[in-house]
Amino acid sequence: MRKTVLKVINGYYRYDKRYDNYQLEDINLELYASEWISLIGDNGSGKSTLAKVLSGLYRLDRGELFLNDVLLTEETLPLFRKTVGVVFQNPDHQFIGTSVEDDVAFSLENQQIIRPEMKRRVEKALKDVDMWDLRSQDPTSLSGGQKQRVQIAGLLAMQPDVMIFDEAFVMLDPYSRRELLTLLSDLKKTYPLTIISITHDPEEVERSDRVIVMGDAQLKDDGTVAEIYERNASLTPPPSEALHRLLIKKNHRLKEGFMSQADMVNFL
Amino acid sequence: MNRLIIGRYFPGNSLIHQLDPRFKLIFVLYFIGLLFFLDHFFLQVIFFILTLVIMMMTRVSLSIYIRGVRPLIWLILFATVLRIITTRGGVVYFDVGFLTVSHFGLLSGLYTFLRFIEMIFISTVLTLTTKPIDLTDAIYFLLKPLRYLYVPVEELSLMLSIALRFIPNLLDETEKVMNAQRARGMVFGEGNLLEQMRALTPLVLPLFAHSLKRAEDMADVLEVKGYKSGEKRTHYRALIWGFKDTLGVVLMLVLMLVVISFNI
Ligand SMILES: Nc1ncnc2c1ncn2[C@@H]1O[C@H](COP(=O)(O)OP(=O)(O)O)[C@@H](O)[C@H]1O
Ligand SMILES: [Mg+2]
Repeated sequence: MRKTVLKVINGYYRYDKRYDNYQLEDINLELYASEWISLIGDNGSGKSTLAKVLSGLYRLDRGELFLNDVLLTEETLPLFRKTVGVVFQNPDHQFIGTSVEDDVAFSLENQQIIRPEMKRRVEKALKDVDMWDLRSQDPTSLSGGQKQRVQIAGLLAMQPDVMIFDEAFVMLDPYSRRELLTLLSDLKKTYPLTIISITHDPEEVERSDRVIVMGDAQLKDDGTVAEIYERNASLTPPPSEALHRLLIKKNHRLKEGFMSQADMVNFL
Repeated sequence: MNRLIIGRYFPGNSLIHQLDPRFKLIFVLYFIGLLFFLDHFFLQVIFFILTLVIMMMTRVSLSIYIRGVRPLIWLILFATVLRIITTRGGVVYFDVGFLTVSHFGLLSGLYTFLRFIEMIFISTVLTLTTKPIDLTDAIYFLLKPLRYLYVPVEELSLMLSIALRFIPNLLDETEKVMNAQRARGMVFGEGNLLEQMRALTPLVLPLFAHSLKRAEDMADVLEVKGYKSGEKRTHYRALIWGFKDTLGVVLMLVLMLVVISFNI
């Protein structure tokens, strides 16, 4: 049995409480421990809103949210703060500390962790993302990739169960993006992390264990990478599958069904 | 922006850089206070030399300090001249109508001039050798007792440190927006006041919109990172009081004795 980390039951959310126009509608979702989930969907479909609900920033208007089987309420909110971390798109809007290590320590200060423990955790987190040498730098002076590394260290220091990335890698060049994704894969091997990443990058989607598609405030589809691309022809597929489709179109005789990068390499 | 020296930090490793920011802040306030009790020529000389010695000890070049004085030089000269012509006594060197320059007048003009210069120099020593964030911590420490009067010291210090984080950002953005508007043919700093204000509108609006977006993001980040106003927090940064700082306090006491001995 897989352990459920986050669970939403009949979730509804609207920004404007005066109207019956919901930005999240009838959300039923169960996320398991150590899963890497890609959340995809058109702009305005409600991905960021869902991310903010899952992190406990917004409260559902109807329905329930559970974290490790604990219902989110005013009393259990601190548990969410410790267990779910979020990185948003623009890193420059997310630095609170004037130095890298200060920034990583910020959430620990709020949790009233004592200083020796803080020092230990900050050092570990910064070493995990390979930023320890730059600990006293001004975070705004770093490169895009380094900035997001610091953000990840900030989450790691909290020792969370869930990390949510809301288009956190879109502003990066392809090289740094790949580097960060590899870093996350490695971290996932060391720590029991559930990763939820909102993304438009097919290459990133291909790396995930599970893909959730949103559209018009609802969950449209949910499955493995192969299932999702087989069922949703309108989505831009990863390079290997794109090539696969192209070859079929050109009347090459290939088997039907999704082709991952590994499948394609084998075939060739 | 590059010409502004006041409030700028110059990284370094001098003795002054190493002192505890709390000590430096207290010392500077104390030193400025003492400057108002230097009624003796020798005291003036001692303090002037002391200021210079402290400046040398920072290993920051003198020209940097002089640049710090420059924006205020007319104000200082004005105060000095005012002092010279309003103080009478001793030998009169010059007397035409309401313009009288006397020995005492010249002397107290000189004192006024020195006091201004020394005030600026010594405050510049503080900001040049202390990281803004350390200064914030020092201010936080000194204001801490006010917590008992329900002053939100913790919140104020976080606000100050976040503001410090964003000032460089804001300057950067201003620069970017100005360049973007210039590229569209906008001219800044020309025409009458009304025209200039009008020219500023397309500059201010994008900055404002951007700041709002950032404030919103920032609020989200503060919340998910578990910040709650009014709640207790621990502190990662620690200021460390050293033996050098204690020696500094001794110097402060000695200065007090010297000033008193000249004033009796
Ligand atoms: N702060 C807000 N106030 C009101 N409506 C919002 C706000 N943020 C987003 N929305 C609306 O909610 C819907 C979903 O937005 P969002 O979750 O940001 O979508 P996505 O992240 O998938 O692009 C959109 O129609 C958007 O206009
Ligand atoms: Mg979004």
